[in-house]
This record gives sequence, C-alpha cells and structure tokens, in this order.
Amino acid sequence: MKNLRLLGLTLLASIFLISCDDNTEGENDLSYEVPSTYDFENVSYTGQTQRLDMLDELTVYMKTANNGAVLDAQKMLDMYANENGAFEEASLNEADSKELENKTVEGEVSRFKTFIRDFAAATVEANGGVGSNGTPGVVVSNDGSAQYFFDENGFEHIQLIEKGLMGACFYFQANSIYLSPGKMDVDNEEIIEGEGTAMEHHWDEAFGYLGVPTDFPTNNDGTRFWGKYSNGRDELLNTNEALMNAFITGRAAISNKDLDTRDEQIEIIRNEWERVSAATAVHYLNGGIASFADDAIRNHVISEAWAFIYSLKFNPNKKLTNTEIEALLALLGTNFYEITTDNINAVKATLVSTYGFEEVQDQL
Amino acid sequence: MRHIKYLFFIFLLTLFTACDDNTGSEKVDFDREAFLVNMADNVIKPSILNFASEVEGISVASSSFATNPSLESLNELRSEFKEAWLAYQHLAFVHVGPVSSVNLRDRVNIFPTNTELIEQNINNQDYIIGSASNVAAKGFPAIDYLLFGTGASQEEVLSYFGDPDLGESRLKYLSDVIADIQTASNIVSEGWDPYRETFISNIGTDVGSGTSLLVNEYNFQFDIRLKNAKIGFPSGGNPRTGGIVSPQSVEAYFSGWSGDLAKESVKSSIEVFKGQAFNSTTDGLGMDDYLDALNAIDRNENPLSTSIINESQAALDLMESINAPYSELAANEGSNLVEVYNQLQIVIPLIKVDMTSALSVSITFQDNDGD
Repeated sequence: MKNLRLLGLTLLASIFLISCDDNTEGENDLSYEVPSTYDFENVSYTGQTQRLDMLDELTVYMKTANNGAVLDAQKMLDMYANENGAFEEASLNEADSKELENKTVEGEVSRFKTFIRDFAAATVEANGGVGSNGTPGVVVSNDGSAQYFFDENGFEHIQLIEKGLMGACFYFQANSIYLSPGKMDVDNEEIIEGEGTAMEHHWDEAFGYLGVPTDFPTNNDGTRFWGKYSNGRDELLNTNEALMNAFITGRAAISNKDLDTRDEQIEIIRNEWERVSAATAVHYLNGGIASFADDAIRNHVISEAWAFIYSLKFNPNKKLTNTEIEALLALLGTNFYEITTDNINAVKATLVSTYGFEEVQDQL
Repeated sequence: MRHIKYLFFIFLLTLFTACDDNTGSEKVDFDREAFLVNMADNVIKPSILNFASEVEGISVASSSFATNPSLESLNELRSEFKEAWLAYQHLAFVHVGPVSSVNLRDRVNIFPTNTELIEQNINNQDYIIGSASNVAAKGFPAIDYLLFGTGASQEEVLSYFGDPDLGESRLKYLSDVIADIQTASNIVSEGWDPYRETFISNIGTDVGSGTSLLVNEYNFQFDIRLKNAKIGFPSGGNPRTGGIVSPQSVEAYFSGWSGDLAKESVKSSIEVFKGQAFNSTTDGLGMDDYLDALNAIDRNENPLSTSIINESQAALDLMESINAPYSELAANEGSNLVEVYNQLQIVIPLIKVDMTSALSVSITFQDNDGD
C-alpha cells in the first residue's frame, strides 16, 4: 500500500517534471561536442559572402585610378547600393536585396557617399596627371615600386572607402548587429532547413563577415578582408585561433542551448576583433614612421591607419569612446602631406596603451 | 483503492498539462474569452475614452488660445497638451481595432518632427495635413515644436503666434494639427464598441485573433517605439547606431518632457501586461495570468510573468533616478540612458521570444532587415 502511494507520488512528480520542451537536456553542462572546424548542420551565410564580393569588385574598380583612370561616381554609388546592374558578376546584380549601403551604420552612409563623390571628382580633376601637395593625382613611391592616387590632401580614398566599409559595414554588422541582443535574443527552437534556428542563423551571419574558410586557420586559402588582417598580425596577437575558436564554440553552444557559453564567446569575438583593427592601425602607423619621407608610401599607410582607427567605433564593447576615436583621427590631421611624426607617434601611443600592445608595438 | 484515486488524479493532471503544439488549441485552464473581455472593457475602452477626453481638453484650450493669446492661455494649452500626450502613451500599447485602423502611432506621434516642413507648410499654406508627406509635420511632436520650439521664452512663443504677417497662418496650422488628432480620436472612440464583438469572439491565437493582436502590438510598442525610438536611437545605446548619439531625436525635444513620457510608457506597459483596469488598481485577467496558467518560465526557470514585470519595473526604477531631459543626457556618449536601454532590452526576449512561444503567437511585424 505504502509502495503504491509512493508510486503514485512518483508518477505525479514525474508528470510535473515532464516538460513539452524536449530540448532542455544538456543545458549548461558542457557535455556537448565542439568541433575543430566551423562544421555544423544548416549553416548559410551567402548574403555575407555576396557583400564581401561586392566590396571586392568596388575595390578593383577604384584601383584603376592608381593607373590614371578617371572614375564614374554614379557607377560606384550603384555598386554601393547594388543598383542598375553595376557588377561584373551577374549573380550579385540579381541578389537585389543584398547591398553594402543598407548594412552600413545608418549615420555613416552619407560619409561614404561623399567619399565616393569626392574621389570621382578628384580623378576628373587630375585626369591621369601626377599628384602632389595641393594637387590630386597619382604619386609614385621613391623606389618606383608602387603608385597610388591621392586627393589634394594626400588622402587615399580607396583605403577610406574599402577599409572604412570593412568597419562601418562588416565589423559593425557582425559585432553590433548579429552578436547583439536584438539578433541573439531570438528563437532557438524552430529549425529552418538549411538555415538552422534564428539564433544559429544570426551567429552564422556574423561569422560570414569574418571572411575566412571553415577550417581557418589551418587553411588560409580564400581568407579575405578581416580574415586577411587577422592573419597579418597573428604571429604577435594569436587572433586567428582566438576568433575561430570563439566562433566555433559559440555556434556549438547555441545548438546545445548553452547561452552562457555563447555570451562568453561573444565577448571574446568582440575583443579579439577589436584587437585586429587596433593592431593593424598600429602596423600602418609604424609604416608611416618608417617611410615618412616617401609621399606615396606614407600617405597610403596613413590612409589605411585612418580607416582602421575609424572602424574601432563600431563595436559595442569598444575600449575608446567615439569622441576619443575622433580625437585620434583629428591628430592625423586634414593633410597627410603635412603630417608630423609627433602626431603619428601620439596616435600610436594611445592605441598601444589602450590595447596593451607595449610588448609588440614596434614589431606590429 | 487509494492508488486508483491517485491514478485518477494523475489522469486529470495530464489533461491540464499544457503543450505547445502550435495549433493554439492547447488544453489549458485559462478562459481566453474572459481575458479578451477584460482587456476590451477594463483596459482598452477606458484608455480610449481617457484619450478622447484629454484631446477634447487640448481642442478647447487651443481655441481659447487662438481667440485670446496670453501667457495664461498658453500655459493652459501647454498643460492640456501634456495630459493628452501622456494619455496617448497608454493607448499606444493597445493599438488594436480602430486604434490600429487610424494608425494612431504614425498619425500622432512621429518624432523627431520636421520643423522645416512645418514652417514650409505654414508659409505656403498649401498643405494637406492628412497626406503621407506630412506625417513628420503633425501630431504631438509638431505641437511640441509650435508651443515650445518657436521661442526661447513664453513671451517669444506668444510673439511667434502674434506675428503681424504669419501669426494667423501659424495659429491655423496649430489648430489644423490639433483637429487632425481630434478626428483620429473621434474615429477611435466611435469605432470601439462596434469592433468589440470581433475582438472578443476571435479567441484563437492565430494571426488576427484578439490575443495575437494584443501580443504583437504590445511587442511592437515596447521594442520599436519605446525602447528604440524613445531611448536607444537618441542615446546611441542601440548598437545599430554605431554608438552615434542624436539628442535631437528624443521624444518631446522642445518641451523636455521626454522622461515623463517614457516613464508613462513603461508604466503603461506593465499595467497593460497585467490586465490592470485603466486608472485603477483592480487587476483583471491579463497576459501575466495567461502565462501563469501555462506555467510559462523564462530561461532561468523563473515564472515568466514575474520576470517581465520585474525587469520592466527595473527599467522604470532607473528612469526614476533621471531628472534631466533626455536630449541633455543623450548629448553625451554612454549616458545613463544607455543603461536604461540595456535594461529595456532585457525585457525583449521575455516578451518577444518566451511569451510568444508560450502563447503560440507569431510575431507578424518585421523589424527591418533580412540577411
């Protein structure tokens, strides 16, 4: 009799514990497997890959200015907005919902459109001619090995636009949009064939903006944009593995409903990715010091540095405020033909102390 | 014998075990019709009537002001205006039926308001107030500009309306904007009773049902219009801004009432969620009771309804400690408003993911972007 009562109570208890949601097993215990590559079910980030392709094509076109070509502003604006069949690659034109412009920080779109218009106008004015302080045009390096198009102030718009969009679009979308609560606090139950749950899909889309193969860093083939720059500083920073592990672990965590681990990985990704941008800026500032007397090289690398510092704005965990970042950009000044080593060093010093690069500052 | 009783009890229990099978017909001990009736009769209708009476108040005060512009009549108009704007905050959380057909949100509360367009309309005198092109040149934010943004002092505002050349056109524009709100309010008041039956009789949880409409509008107002528009975009707290602040885009930029309105909005959200009778402490059947009946829990296994109320209340507590107008705060990166935004964001997955999933309701609005 007693046994029966016990049985009844046990059954009763078990019914209370039966939940309709059968996915709660394995919650918060790291008993699940984390693969060694980004190899999961239902992964799709074609839209991200297409945007990387778009920036590639835009950059290829812009670089013709380095050989004296006059650029068409409308063509570049069309590529930015994916309008009027601007791309060579037909599939990009057909992907009409995918564009760079509407994924750029909204408040920054006009900046890039202005860059594009100014750049085109400078090429028209130069008309293939030689550039110098006060005159837009192509400038050849002292050793004759490289040449770049600068506006009259020594700004290389190709870098401002390409690297600037890496920040205000790719880096921003990954860190500030897809890994933020707006895209992470979403459904993680309903699996859509080929895309996974909403949460998994958003995570994959963030990964897509890193521009690396699924077996990175073992394999480096096809590494693009941010992936390339992570790779460039990896020997000193070890960002390749840190970023990749965090992306893989976070994706596995989401698939196993382990949101605490997911959140830890978000922190890691944001911090490591920020280190890539800051360290790349320091790398180029070092180049500016090393080639200070070479107009072409100096203006080119300072333009790169400008864009990687600017990009730092678009991470929710950024270590500098927008005001502080603006102050660094102001130190680089409004004319790279007239920049001073003191100012370059002042910008570098701030980045080094902010990001703890003291040990590696001169090797970056 | 005893064990048979147990078994019978167990059998009963299984009947009441709620399972989310997405059909909206789960067996749960909750009277959805009674819930809709409470929302209709004790929450929505009184909120509509309250709004109507406050709007009536501005209309009257605005006529007095036009007939006899003085510091006194200006102050009277301003205070009536504030009451009406506060009343709107509650109604915005139950944007269903006629409230939704007049699209009250877009009709009376698009901010930041377009002051250039307002002045252009006044100068050209060729505007159609109801035209889509004028959504950002009317409603409460336009009145905010007209009564507060047209002069640095009350005297200056009075002389703006007393201008020998444009005074008349300016008064007319003010009265046209108020008339447009009045028209919308009339349509809503008259349209509620005929709509009530439709609302309470559609007791499913599929798209278009009373429950689905309530949950969707609640989410939209909380997420898009409260969290983002009032706090997240101006302060740069919403990651989408890239941390760029835009103090000019707060609600009530000119009067500085941004904090009062936002607090009223959060307060309303809690009252609506609880199914609390309007302007009373009587707590009827609300979304909280529905979630309790389903034993809905959040991700930390706490009762979902409690978490929603507590986290919303926590945002309200943070807001209570802020006294300055939001435009002043938003001028600086990383202000306390960002903290408020983050706290409001904590509520979003609770209402947008956990609650909708527990109630088998789909979110039907799209927050902008695809892949």
